[in-house]
Amino acid sequence: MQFKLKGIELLRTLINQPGLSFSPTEFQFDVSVEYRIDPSQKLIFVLTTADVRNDNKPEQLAAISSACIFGLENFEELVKIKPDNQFEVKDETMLILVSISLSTLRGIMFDQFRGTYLHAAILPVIDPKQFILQKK
Amino acid sequence: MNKPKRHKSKLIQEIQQNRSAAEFEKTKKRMLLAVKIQDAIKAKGYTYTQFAKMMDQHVSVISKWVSGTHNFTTETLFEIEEKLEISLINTGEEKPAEIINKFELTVSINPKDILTSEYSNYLNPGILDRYVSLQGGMAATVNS
Repeated sequence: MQFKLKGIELLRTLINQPGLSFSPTEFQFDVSVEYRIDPSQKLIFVLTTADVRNDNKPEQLAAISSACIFGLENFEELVKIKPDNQFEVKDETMLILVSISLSTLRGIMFDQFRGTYLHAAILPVIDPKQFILQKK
Repeated sequence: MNKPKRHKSKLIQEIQQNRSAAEFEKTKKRMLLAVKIQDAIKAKGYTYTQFAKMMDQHVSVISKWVSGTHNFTTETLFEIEEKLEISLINTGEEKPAEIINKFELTVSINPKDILTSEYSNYLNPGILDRYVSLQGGMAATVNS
């Protein structure tokens, strides 16, 4: 596969101050992955977001969003453009791109959280296939 | 087994013969627009009542919109486009990027499972060498 990582964007960082009696029991991460493309530039944008909560409680402790921008040389082979601005990316390509994007997000999160009360909130290892399965 | 009979009606035949191609095309487009709106409401997971509130309309108006009989103004279409995040009017602008999929999942971790300061000693150069050699490996460090 011929692709390049053309850029990484940090779109949003938010860390909320916890209450004085805050004691984390389980960090929960609501992770989302979004895709966008720019066919004219042969680019795929993978936007990843993680909202951190404690133990399924509604209060948001933190939120981080980042985007990885990939340039695909064989764009036409890997991305099928459908009518009405829709498109489909090959599963194997999606797996790699999601995997890289989630790892990048994990690194950014650690960099933002280190030394704070969220130091131990390390994004767990996620099988990118779970996102592919949701597509089907 | 009874075969379904094709219904023939003189009245329908007359109507079909008298309709113009342009009129037919207009009706077809109206129906397609209504289906697109209906699909987008479903895709967003809204009920007609919820969508009516968002659009500041009565639910009966929404029912009319999705019936394919309503004559929309551009203002209304622009507002629907915005609320449902869809494209209804082709203004000739090529959208450079479009969301196709948004996937979500939830994972969790117990903070107690994360190794912190007690293990960070292993990452000091001298201790790391000893640790790695104890494990039967070799470590290379650069002294500045």
